[in-house]
Amino acid sequence: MRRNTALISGVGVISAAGVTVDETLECFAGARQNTCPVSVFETSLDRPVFEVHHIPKDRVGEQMRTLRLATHATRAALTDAGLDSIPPASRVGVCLGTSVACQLNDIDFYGAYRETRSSPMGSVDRYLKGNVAQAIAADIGATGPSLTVANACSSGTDAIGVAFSWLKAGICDVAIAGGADELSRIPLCGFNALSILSAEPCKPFDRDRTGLNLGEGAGILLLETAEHAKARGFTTSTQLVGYGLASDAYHLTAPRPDGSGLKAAINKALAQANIRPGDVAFVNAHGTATPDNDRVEGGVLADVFGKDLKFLSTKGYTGHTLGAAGGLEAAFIVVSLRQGWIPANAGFTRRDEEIPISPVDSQTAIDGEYGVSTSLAFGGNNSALVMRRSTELATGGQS
Amino acid sequence: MNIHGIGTIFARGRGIVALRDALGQGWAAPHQMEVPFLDGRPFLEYHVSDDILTDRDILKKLRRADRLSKMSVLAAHDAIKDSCIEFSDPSRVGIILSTAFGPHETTFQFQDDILEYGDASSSPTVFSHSVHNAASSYMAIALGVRGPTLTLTQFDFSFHEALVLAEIWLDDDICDYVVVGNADECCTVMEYICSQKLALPRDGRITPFSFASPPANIPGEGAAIFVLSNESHQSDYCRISSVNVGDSIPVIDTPDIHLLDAGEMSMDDTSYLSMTELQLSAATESPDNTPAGITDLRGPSATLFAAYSPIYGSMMIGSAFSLATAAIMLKDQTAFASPILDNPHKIAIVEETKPANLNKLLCSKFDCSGKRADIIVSR
Repeated sequence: MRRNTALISGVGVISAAGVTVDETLECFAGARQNTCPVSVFETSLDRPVFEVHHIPKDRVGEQMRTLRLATHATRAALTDAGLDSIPPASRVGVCLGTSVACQLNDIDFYGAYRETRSSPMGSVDRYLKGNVAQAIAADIGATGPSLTVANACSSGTDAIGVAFSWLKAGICDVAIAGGADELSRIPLCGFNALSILSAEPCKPFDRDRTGLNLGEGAGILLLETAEHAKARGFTTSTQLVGYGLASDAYHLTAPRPDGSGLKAAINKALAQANIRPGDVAFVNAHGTATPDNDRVEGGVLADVFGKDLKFLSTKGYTGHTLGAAGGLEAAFIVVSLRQGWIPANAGFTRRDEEIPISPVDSQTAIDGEYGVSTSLAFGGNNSALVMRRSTELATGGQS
Repeated sequence: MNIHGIGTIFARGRGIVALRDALGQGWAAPHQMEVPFLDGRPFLEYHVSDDILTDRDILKKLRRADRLSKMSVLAAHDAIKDSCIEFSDPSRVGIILSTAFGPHETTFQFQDDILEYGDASSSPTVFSHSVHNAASSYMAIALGVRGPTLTLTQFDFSFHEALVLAEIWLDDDICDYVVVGNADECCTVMEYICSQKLALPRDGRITPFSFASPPANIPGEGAAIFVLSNESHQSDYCRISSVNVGDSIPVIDTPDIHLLDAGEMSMDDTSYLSMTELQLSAATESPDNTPAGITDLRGPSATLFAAYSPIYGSMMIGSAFSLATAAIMLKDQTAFASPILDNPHKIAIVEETKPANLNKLLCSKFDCSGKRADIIVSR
């Protein structure tokens, strides 16, 4: 049976903004930017990052930080959805995005190999056991489809989109979807080489923005068919109603200047949700705080939604968490729809005349049912999700 | 959905003609690679040489591209050319590329920069090519495709899940065509890892029907890309009737040939033996005698088996090559001999290349835990 929507029955988050939804909301309310110097690995680069200082210990992923982040957020999402564990008869899929965990980028392993043409296999074993979707599926006992999406910075968004496709097609009843990534020396050096790391806390969409800060975390949605939720007596008001993905076919690291790929992705997502731009209450933008991204994205948002759009980037609270970003930002939309407000765009103080619209600069009430998340990625990937909180459906549960 | 075109790159050449020729010619010894870690002994590998990756017309915009991207773009280009389809609306074309290890040669090259020059002096170009989705992005750029583009990475079944997703995109009218496939490379560090983790036969022979634990592996590399849609064209290879992954795969009627993805960089191929034994017993005994708990492993009864990993090498993405082989067999109505005929368990295998009346083929892959994926293709 083909469906048009999926329920968002639970969310789990962990980032520098907080290891729970409540902690995150406190951080948002205080407009705090919890940046710090890198402490999880040694580097000569003096660039602030958004680290998670305490990852609660879980059963799997003792060795891989990304898995520990993903496990924590997954269990939080299960709890939020009223599930202690996966119901035995349920068909559960797992689709997660990552960028760091899919690469064998252990410098210690490679350094030893370079020096001696020999290196212990411990790192390789961790890598081979560390495919994030497969590991989480094994941890929670999910036997449905499992996939790890590696679409760079849109990985988390696209993983949610793929899981949405599974539920609509009837391939599974429940899906764990989102993204996870740890801070790693490789992307820190890489983004520094690209000259897009800021030396100060990032300022998305600000006139004086100087680049991004890297972060780490995980954001997980528990998606569910209405039939499955009904069968277990669970109700929720939040739904995933649209997903769009389009390619720039332009450049490996720069967005297409006219933003047409992002515009196409947003329009596809709105069409799938069967809504107009005016129905959207707010957008949680990609907003990395790089000059190129924010200029192109701001232009597209103004073009599609108009100049009165309420929007922000939450990367001022989490940093750019790469493969986790789409998962975290989708989870934040669900939380905002539940709470009825969006936080200030942390780091924004001065309007950029080159961007036709400005983000919210203080905590702002939202009026409407729909929130949109946008993601842009290396390689020209553009993605958008549409989420809804329906007042008609708000009958209890986790609404 | 139907297969309109196929592009392959592997050790023995580029293009579907090269694969067809290799299948007709049978087994060939792997390349002997000089490596710094085997005390002067060669490392045996089905390696894609640089001359196979030389195409100035197609690669002129990809001069700085990494090797995995070049293999992917060339295979995708060949698949589209093979399909004879012109994409009238690039926004209605999707790309799904799956890979087990991604562009790891470039990943290590970037680490070379860090180790040699320090954290602040690495190359931005190398970094941007070290991410897993560089290859699919280059495919989109080179082909001008503006639809959804995804890179999937999994050690098992990523190709099968990519096919499932392609079918959803087509059925949901998200795309008119999907360019879907697999690509993986094998660099020196991966060769070292293989030398530590896999059973590498010194005679260079993958013996897929040994169903051993660990099985004999000779690493390979390459790309296999397909052009798929729900349209029917005269020149189509075949129809993908179904793709199933998981623990409860339905049993199908007897296929004409059952292709086994054995010898494809798994640590344990014994599940293939369990399946073939169960098929044999299922043919002679009642289903009630099947051991409890393993009925899901039972495949069709009284089947002729084949395995072609000795043609292209051991790859976690080998299922894409297996599907390409099945598609050629259906289109050509030819049963290709299994390239290595060692058959200690005496199962019925395709021993001779000859014309055959083929209507339905089944491609099966097991992971180490015994989880199975099937692709059923029909004429």
